[in-house]
Amino acid sequence: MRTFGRGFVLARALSSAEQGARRVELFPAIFSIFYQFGDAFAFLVISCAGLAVIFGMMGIINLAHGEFIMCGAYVTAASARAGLPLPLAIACGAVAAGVVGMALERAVIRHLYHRPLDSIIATWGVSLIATQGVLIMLGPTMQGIGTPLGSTLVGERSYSVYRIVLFASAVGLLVGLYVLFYRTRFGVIARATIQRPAMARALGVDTRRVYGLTFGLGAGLAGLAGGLYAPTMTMVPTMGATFIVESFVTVVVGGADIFLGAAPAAAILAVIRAALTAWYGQLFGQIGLLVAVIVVIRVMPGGLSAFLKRWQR
Amino acid sequence: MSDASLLDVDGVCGGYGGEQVLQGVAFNMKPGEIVAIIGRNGVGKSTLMRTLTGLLAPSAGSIRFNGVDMTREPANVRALRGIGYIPQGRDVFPDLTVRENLLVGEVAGQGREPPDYDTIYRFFPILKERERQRAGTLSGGQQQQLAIARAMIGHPSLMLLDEPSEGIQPSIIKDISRNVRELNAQTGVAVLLVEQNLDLIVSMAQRGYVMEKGRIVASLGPDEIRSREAVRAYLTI
Repeated sequence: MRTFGRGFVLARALSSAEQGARRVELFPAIFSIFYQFGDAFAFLVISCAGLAVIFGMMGIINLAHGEFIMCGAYVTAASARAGLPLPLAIACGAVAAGVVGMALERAVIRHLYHRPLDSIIATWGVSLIATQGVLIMLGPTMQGIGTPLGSTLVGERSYSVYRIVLFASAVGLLVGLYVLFYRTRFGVIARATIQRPAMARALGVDTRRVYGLTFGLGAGLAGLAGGLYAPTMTMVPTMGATFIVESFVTVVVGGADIFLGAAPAAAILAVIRAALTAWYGQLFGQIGLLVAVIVVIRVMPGGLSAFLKRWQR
Repeated sequence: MSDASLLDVDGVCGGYGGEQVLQGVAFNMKPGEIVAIIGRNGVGKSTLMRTLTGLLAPSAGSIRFNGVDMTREPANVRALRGIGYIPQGRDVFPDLTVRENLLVGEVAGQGREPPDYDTIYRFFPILKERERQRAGTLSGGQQQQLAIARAMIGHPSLMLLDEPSEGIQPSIIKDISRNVRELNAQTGVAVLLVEQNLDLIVSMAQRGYVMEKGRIVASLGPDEIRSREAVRAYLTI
């Protein structure tokens, strides 16, 4: 009787302690889910923005996207190690990639606007030259920079603060692009040029300049992606490939519009990826992304944006 | 100045790719005139318009505007010189709002004259009402008004008006004709009108040219262009 009583009391004490712990763990659990989602969302948005601008605005499929990312990452790492504060170094990376992009547009892409298939081959060639060139000139690896800001404990797990900064940057990037394309003169003229290039020219728009700037912007955004992720990665000439699958998947699922396409696509894919990664691991997260693309291409050939635009009308 | 030519087109040949549609077109315009080019379908009227804007390159001949040879100049430079184009089918930017369409039109006037929205909205009050609406959702007549306003906001000295009556209700055609004549009277913009609609030609044009098989074959004076019988005869040749 006494033993039963003691055991009973012990069992009750244990279960109430468990309940208490569960209540405390609810916030960390939710935080963990949001963190995973935010991390995946940020990676998808930041890595695809440049590709989406160039594809959506100009119809060019830029296979050198990954190399613009690499360019941004290398310049960021080099300038950070030369003593620049990280945000400035990232800006340098973005600007450098943008300038390289404008030069490439003038030298190569400009001549291929009416030949979309050739532009794929040309950008692929540029990508090969860039990776091999960097390998030959700078060697197989470059000294990177550590991830700043350390980590924070939520519940029992620690989270990288920098990843949270990346999520905020992704949201900021979308807002910035929206303001640029919908609230500035350049944005309105760029959108007009995409819709009716000949008409825009007949109204006095220097469409070649608009295309050049747009391509530069896309390349600069790729450079920004490289800069933002440089502190989290190993610096190798092929590092752009890490971003390629995710960025193309997001653009394909999203379609030609950044705001009605790439952004919601990134949100949906981030949910799929975060959930699958949490339950089954990274490999299944990746598989989930690819299955999502196949389903989307089958059901909505124009991507999410074409689908959403039909709804809008 | 009033004796000087605004537009001098001389021996212009051209077309799409290898096909020569224009076979030596020659005519001229003075500042502030409303001139119609009439002719049946397929004689090259729209090709002539696109060649004048610079969207098509002529293979021979010369185009002088305000005394400047602009035969080889690209379309955007010609627009900055004061050529406003209102194409067949309007070609408004469908996903841009009415206001954004006009904003693109401002480009042509940059560095010459600031945009004058009061005047434009006085002529086309519906555009003020629909300022925030997407241009693709406007009716045909409203899109036509927007296309004219978009050209006018850049202060052109010549307006190229290509078949404004196409696909538009007769009652609205009258409004457009009146609006263009008033714009011409108030701002002094010259108008080159390409048209097949008899009412519009007779009510708008001050003189005209007849085009046939890529050439100008006759010139119509002020009396002839106002005579329905004379114009009808040329339209049905």
